[in-house]
Amino acid sequence: MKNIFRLLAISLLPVLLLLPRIDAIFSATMLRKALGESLLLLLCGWAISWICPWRRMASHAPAAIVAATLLFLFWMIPRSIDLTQIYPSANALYVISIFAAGFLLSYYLLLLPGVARVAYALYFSSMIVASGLLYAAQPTLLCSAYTLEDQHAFGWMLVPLGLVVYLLVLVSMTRWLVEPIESQ
Amino acid sequence: MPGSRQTTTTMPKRFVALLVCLLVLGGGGGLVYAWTLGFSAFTSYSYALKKAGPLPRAAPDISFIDQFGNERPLASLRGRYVLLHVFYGSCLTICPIVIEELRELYSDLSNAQQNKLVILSISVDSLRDTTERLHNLWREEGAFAGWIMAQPADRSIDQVAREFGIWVFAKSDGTINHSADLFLIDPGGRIVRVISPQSNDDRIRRDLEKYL
Repeated sequence: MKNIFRLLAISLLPVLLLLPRIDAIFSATMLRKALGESLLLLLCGWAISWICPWRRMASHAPAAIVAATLLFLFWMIPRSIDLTQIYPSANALYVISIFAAGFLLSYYLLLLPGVARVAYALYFSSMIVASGLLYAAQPTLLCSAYTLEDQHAFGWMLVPLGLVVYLLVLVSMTRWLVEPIESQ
Repeated sequence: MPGSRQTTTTMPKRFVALLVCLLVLGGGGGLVYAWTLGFSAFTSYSYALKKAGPLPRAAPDISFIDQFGNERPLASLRGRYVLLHVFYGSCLTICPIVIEELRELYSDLSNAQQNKLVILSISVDSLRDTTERLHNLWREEGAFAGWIMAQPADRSIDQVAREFGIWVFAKSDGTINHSADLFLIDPGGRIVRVISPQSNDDRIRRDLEKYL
């Protein structure tokens, strides 16, 4: 019962983000929209996955991870970000997608074998760094809804974030590699 | 043999899982492919441009009302190169920069080159950019005979933009997002070059010198 209330409470958070007043706060800058809001939605998805009562099916993990990655890729395209600023329905779709991506990633990533998990995490963090560099170094405007300064600020925030995730994965990989030797 | 029984029961499951994975990958990849016109247009600007068709292509047969209030078809400028772009008078970001670049560029051209070129600045803001306002702007920018500041006459700016391949979106705060590309139309009425002014004006100059 307690879990159902928690589920409902966390599921309400993405809905709150769609309220015009709250959406206006996040949509004001690219940094808030594409980074702040995305991270918040990912966290909500992650939180939901921990209290979700359904049984995890390992066989669904690869498809779920691919779906989550594609959702991310789609909403990283500048044209898609523009769309969220033009049509409220596209914005709703964006919120649902990133929330679902967060849920799928945290729900199914742990079911993958260790090597696949590390490889995916390295790929994902590299994707963040590459996107950051693209947004930061591009001299022309990519998202028409924001300014060039906004775009560069967003790019320069993505780069360290991606690098931190990358380093964390490397550290966890070192531990994972060393552990069997220590146990011998 | 419990092991072999387990293998036979998990095989279809694995096959289905692989199939689902491939379907998700194919469907998602296909969606992104279509959305970006074959992984070639990732921004709203490039999408609008690609969607209008490859270069060279015939310039749309539009009509405009110039800064003197005269309605003219684009075809009336045949025989000269036309550098067409969109702007709006209340813009505080890219438009003043492009207009300034064009003013410098045009004033640096020789008389012979100026005779070969017409700059056609079309406003995307028909409400605020009245003929009078466009005339004032034209005078402020040097009142060059070969520079026309106009608004669309026979169709909406959205239609004009779509036909040329220009992204235009009016925001609720009164600002208008739009492509800043310059479309070079040859004397025969074909769009032969699209120049991004955000690169630098040396490139625009170099590109133009090839034609003039």
